[in-house]
Amino acid sequence: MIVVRLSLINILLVLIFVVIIIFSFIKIKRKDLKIIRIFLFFLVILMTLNFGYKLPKRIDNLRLFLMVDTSGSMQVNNRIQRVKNFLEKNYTKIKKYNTKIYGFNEGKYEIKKIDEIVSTNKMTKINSSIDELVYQLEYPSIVFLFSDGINFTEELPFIKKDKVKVIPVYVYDKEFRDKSIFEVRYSKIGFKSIDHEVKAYVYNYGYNDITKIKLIDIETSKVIYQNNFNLNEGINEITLKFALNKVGANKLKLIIEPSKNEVSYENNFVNLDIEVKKNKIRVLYLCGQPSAEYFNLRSLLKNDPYIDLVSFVILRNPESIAIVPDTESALIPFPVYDIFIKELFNFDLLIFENFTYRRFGIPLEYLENIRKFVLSGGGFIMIGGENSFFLGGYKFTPIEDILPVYLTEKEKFLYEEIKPDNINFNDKLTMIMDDKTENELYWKNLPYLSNYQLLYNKEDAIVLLSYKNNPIMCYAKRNKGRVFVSATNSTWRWRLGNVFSEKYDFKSFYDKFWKKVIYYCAGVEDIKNINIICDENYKISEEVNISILLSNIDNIVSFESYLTLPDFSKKPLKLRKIQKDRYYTSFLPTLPGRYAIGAILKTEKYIFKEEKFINVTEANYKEMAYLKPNAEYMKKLADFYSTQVISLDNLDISEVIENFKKEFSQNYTETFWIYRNPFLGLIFILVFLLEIYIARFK
Amino acid sequence: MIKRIYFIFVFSLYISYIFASDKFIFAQLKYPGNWDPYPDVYKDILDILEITTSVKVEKERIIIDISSDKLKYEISKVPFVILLGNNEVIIPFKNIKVLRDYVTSGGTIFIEDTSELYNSKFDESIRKILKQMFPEYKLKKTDRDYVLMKSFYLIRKVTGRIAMYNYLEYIEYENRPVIIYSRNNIIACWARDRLGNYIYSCIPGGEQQRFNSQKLFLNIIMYSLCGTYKMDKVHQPYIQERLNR
Repeated sequence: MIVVRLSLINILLVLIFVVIIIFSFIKIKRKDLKIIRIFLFFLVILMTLNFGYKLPKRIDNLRLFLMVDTSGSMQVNNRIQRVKNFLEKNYTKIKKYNTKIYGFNEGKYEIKKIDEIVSTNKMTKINSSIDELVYQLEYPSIVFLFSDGINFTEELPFIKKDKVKVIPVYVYDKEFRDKSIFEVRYSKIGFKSIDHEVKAYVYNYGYNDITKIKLIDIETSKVIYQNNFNLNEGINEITLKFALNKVGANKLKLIIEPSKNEVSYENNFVNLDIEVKKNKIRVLYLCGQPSAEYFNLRSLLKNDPYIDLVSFVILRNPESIAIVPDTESALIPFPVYDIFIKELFNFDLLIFENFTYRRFGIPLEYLENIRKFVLSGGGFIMIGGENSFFLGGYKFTPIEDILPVYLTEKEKFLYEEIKPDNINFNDKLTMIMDDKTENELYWKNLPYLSNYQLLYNKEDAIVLLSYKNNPIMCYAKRNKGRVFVSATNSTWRWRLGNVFSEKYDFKSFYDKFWKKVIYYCAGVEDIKNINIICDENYKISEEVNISILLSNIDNIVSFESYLTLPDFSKKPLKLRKIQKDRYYTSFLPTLPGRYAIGAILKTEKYIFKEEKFINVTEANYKEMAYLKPNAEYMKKLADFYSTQVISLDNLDISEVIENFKKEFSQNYTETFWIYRNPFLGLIFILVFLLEIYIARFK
Repeated sequence: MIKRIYFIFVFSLYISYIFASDKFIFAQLKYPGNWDPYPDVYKDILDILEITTSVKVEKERIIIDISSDKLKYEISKVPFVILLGNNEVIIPFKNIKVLRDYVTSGGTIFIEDTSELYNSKFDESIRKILKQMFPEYKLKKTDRDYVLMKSFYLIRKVTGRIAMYNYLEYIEYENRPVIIYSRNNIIACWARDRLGNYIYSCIPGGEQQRFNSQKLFLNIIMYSLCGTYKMDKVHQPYIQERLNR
């Protein structure tokens, strides 16, 4: 094919030379000189017009690359084995060329022999693996990419080169049926007895039946949730709502009941870890005799919104005289069975104040239940009185085992105005005021107590207050539970200390101290007023659904929520009230990075704030969750490389290579520029010299 | 002189012993005026309290001078105090503040107008004092379902020696009555002579009214030791069922 490269200057020059030729033709008389002159200028015009011609390029050294997907999904349905079989069958054809075999999953690596091709448990990164290879290639090359198309991202490769042809070879399954849990979204923090939500994305291909989905506790094998679903083809969103009662770490398993002939059962279950916290403490308070201590402590607990209090006080002893029939009194039967057997483990803390079990025919087995309750994580407080400790008959009972004090015959209940002479200021339970010095002053200046039980602490007891080496208050851990002892039932006097003290707020001190003790024994260090519930990890363009749960807040003046983006800009979130104390909001993240979801609540007296962080990343697939070969992705690859997807069964390597060569020849030519040919210049000079010779010498 | 000193020493020890107790103490406020219209009535009250309930009692009452500078120290040692009278009550202003601190820190005051008059000087002065003590709160009236009506006995009607008003009045703080005010002269129902006969008749209900009034006062004492315990949910079905009979 002839080609010309023209510019304006070329054209002008050509015109000038044409004029010169015409002029010469007219002026020169001798025929031989005329011919030579015309020939010369013809050469000049040829050179000026930049003539060239194209010839097809030959591929002398074609490079062949085979990239085999060795990710986890290739294990399924013998996909990788089929590729190996194909390569072995076509080995003679392959070895004719300069062939290299690479395996790839999260990256590429060289394979020397076909036998070395094995699948791994890694995920697939097709795009980055091909880019790695194509980037290195300089010469004309064909890359056969054997894959099922399941890639960790929908992104395509970046690099393509003219001389490199990438041919996606689609490894598909003739028969594919599978159900899998594709993804699960849930908050890793939950609250006791409050509905927890888990969103599961379940993939179904090839089935049209009812699918049972259940959630079980891995430790106890107890079924927490179970339901039947009619799954559509493709991805189904399923919401599970359930409440967990076990405080602490809950290891759960979400299971799709397997169906017959699924390609894999590995993706039919997912493990979930949910940390369940208490949002309220349940306290059971038994008092053997009405007292000011009971009056004040009960009042404190009753007014605490975080505490669910059930209390019983013995208003009348069996030996007391009834002056009215029971129908005229407000007394109710003491529910011994309900308290000690049926409901005990539903509480977090049990308080005995001056309470003896002996008067009410409570069997020792019931006390054993209390011991079990404590050892399994419950809290127990015993407050002194003539019906407590040894005097209450707890010697040689299971209660004695768990108390941090010895029960001895030396025990007495003394009516004496005392002040503790030894205070453990460094314990977390005695750290009431923020300032250490102020804290010590408070403790030292507390009003006198009016009585105490003469006790002796055990070695493992942590003594908070003591008087003449006898513990007034001490505590100890018992396996998972905590036990606290107060040898006095006159701490109400601390509260009334506000009457005579202008300097110290003893009422507040008393309240804070007992709350610390109660919370500590119940195993709850702090309870939040605002709880932001959502998952911690999301993908870009995946909606973040947020529940905000309020714990016991009254008299709300204002409540706002906001979002801090990865670039630190803030925007408000719109809140929608869905239940009493429960709000909902959502947003769509468009940037990857760390987001903060915040909430600010104002009441008449206080301001509460809370923030939760979430991470948003690029989209990705889970390797085994979605096992259906992805023809669409393979097609996109083919489009990117301007080739066509070929299925493994239909692949003829030789034919593809020959076609490539033909195409290459058609598309790739070499251009020979005549003016660059040095012989042309030589001919011009010779002819020019000839003209001079003829003109001069002939 | 020595005898006097000895007596004061023993008495102080005794008083401190009484204060150092978890037993119920009948603490009565003294002021210039007729502060003690029924001097021995506390003995009977304490006896009945002890034999009919699980409460342990201190047999001797404590008298606290409301005008004294030591009021704040003495009153802070008892959770419940009683103020009786039938004439004007004058309390130093600084001690009104002490009484306010007392009730807001957990104490309870029972006030009884024993004059049995609709417009008594006692009532007038008490209302003034309460206004000074709690300018932000008003006296409220009890109803049938109020906690004082069921803290031990089930009381359907508020009475006293007379049935002048069918309610008690109270000031509420932190969801509990901290000052309870009666104008029906409940305490008079307990007064006996040396032969053990009740001195005052109860009008118009007679002995039934007396019994009812005595139970009401016991309820008030039980309330001071148990708080609003009988308002807890667990009790309501039983109480409601009995009240409906």
